[in-house]
Amino acid sequence: MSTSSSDPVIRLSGITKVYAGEGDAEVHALSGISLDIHAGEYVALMGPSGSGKSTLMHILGCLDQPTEGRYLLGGDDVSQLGEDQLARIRNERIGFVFQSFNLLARTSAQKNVELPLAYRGLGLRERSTLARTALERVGLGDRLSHKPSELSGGQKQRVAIARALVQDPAVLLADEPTGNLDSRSTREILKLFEELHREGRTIVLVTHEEEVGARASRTIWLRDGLVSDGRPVLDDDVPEVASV
Amino acid sequence: MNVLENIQTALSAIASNKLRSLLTMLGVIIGVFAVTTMLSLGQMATQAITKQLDSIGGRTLLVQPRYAPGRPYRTFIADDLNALAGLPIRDVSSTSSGVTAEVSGRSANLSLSGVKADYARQSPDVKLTSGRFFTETEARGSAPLIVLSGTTAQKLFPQQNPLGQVLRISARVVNNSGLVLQREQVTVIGVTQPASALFGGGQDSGIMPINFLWRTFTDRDSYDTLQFRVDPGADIDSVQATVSRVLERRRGEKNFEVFNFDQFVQQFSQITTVLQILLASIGGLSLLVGGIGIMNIMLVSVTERTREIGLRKALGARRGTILGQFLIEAVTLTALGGLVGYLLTVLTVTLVSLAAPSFFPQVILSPGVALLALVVSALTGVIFGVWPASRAAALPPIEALRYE
Repeated sequence: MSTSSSDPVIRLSGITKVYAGEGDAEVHALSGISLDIHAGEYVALMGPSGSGKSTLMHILGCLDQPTEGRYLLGGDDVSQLGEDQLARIRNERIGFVFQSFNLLARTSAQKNVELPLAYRGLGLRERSTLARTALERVGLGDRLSHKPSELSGGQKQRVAIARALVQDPAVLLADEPTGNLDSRSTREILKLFEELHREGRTIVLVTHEEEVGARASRTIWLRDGLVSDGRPVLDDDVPEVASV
Repeated sequence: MNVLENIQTALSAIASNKLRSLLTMLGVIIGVFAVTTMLSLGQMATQAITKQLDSIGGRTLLVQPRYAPGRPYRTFIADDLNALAGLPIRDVSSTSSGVTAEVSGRSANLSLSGVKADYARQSPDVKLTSGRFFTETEARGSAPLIVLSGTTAQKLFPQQNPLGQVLRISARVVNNSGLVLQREQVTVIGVTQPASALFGGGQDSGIMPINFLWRTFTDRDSYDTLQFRVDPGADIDSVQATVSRVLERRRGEKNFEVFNFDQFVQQFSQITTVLQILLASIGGLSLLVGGIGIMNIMLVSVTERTREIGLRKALGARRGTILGQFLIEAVTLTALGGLVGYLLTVLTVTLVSLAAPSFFPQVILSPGVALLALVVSALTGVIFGVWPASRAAALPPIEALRYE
């Protein structure tokens, strides 16, 4: 794990997540995760299915809360906040990019990008300006009024990225962002993430595809709900992991 | 995200599911239509009746004999009127008789009213369309002159001017030699406006001097009903009580009824109110069914849009935001239904008034009814939208995002 003189954007200490299983059985999805992610890092979160990476992603994104442990986001403890406070954190500090884009159908690219700003309570004009800027940033300045059905997969994902960028989040969380894309669009999107990384964005990308994970500057491997010390845990041939 | 934007979103959702939205709204449309149409028609009928009763004379007393089985039916006589002479009332009593009228092969059953010489002066509400009334001298002299109602004149003299025409009238009467057919010839001198269908306007009728009827078809000096105009300033209730007391003393028992038209108005408005409540509650039932339809479709919509709800929550929508969005959607749907229902009411009420001008002479669309339509339909949306909306709001974001 890297260390930095500045405070980390994300600091997890002893995070566990236990679900009630069938009967008295409990499922330990996360069994005590501690890690730091610093501003400007581009981290890939990898692991086999069942390793707990989705659960960790949900906790990082404040969509779910840990059973135990502390989660400091930008220095604030968010592990015990209420529902509405979490909604506010998501709105102001987390930018999500999903595998299936999750754009509102029948709604223009610009209106999709404006959505988080609407929940923030910004006025129409301000929303519009910020949304246009964000769409221009991802190269869709000429597709403002296109509906999702009129866009290609790669373009849809770029709208989704613009929607995350417009929030100016502390952290960009991407959950298998290339999972539904062909290889050309995948390259496009990964290139965009690298550019954003160079611009100083903090990015956490969950993936099970090693070539995608390899583009990040650091890889965190999960296995059985635990961080496996930055080493590959599979028997497969895994590329070396870069360290910041 | 303000209310206006939510309404906009809701409208575009409705527009993208036109048929489904229309079918969903149908219950509310029918419900609002039924309630507001009934209320409007009720108001229109009440107003028409009140107006007509006012034109007859709001301050009018009516005395009718009461028929009791096994007791002789007694009409009123001229001496009854004389006994009431000191009261602040003017006598406009009449008698009536059913006769057959014939002219050149056409015939009609006439309801003949025998009226006093000053009838024309006392009844400013009866309007002539042509000709004249009989003069007081003619009336006293029991002249064989008749003023026909417009519809009757049209029926008996379809092609020609009825004025000056001679009409043969006949009726069976009881006299000393038993039942005989009494025949008379009368001359038409005037035609009145057709009376309202509400007050026997559908029946053929004519007006003649009361002395003529006494001489020919009815008992001399007898009246079927007594009718008085109460002088302005006099207390109608105390006059009514006095009339009742005097007549009871003269007749030995209370075998008659005294009404005033205010009572009719009150009775009528009671009846229409009960009818309105009855019919409006049927409309209310339809609204209930419509509301359940709205609830059903909103639940479907929440399920269909589970992922959307998850996404909105991930982007920072709070529980209250989602609740508000779905509630506004339900209310938009029902308010739109209410609007359509009310527009249908406007159309129906106008058509009904055109089709039956004698019952509903004037279209009344009170702002109260319009407001009621809007409030009730919006309220239906709130009541039946709350549960689906709160289900949407309570969805945990991860579950919602995972939903396929």
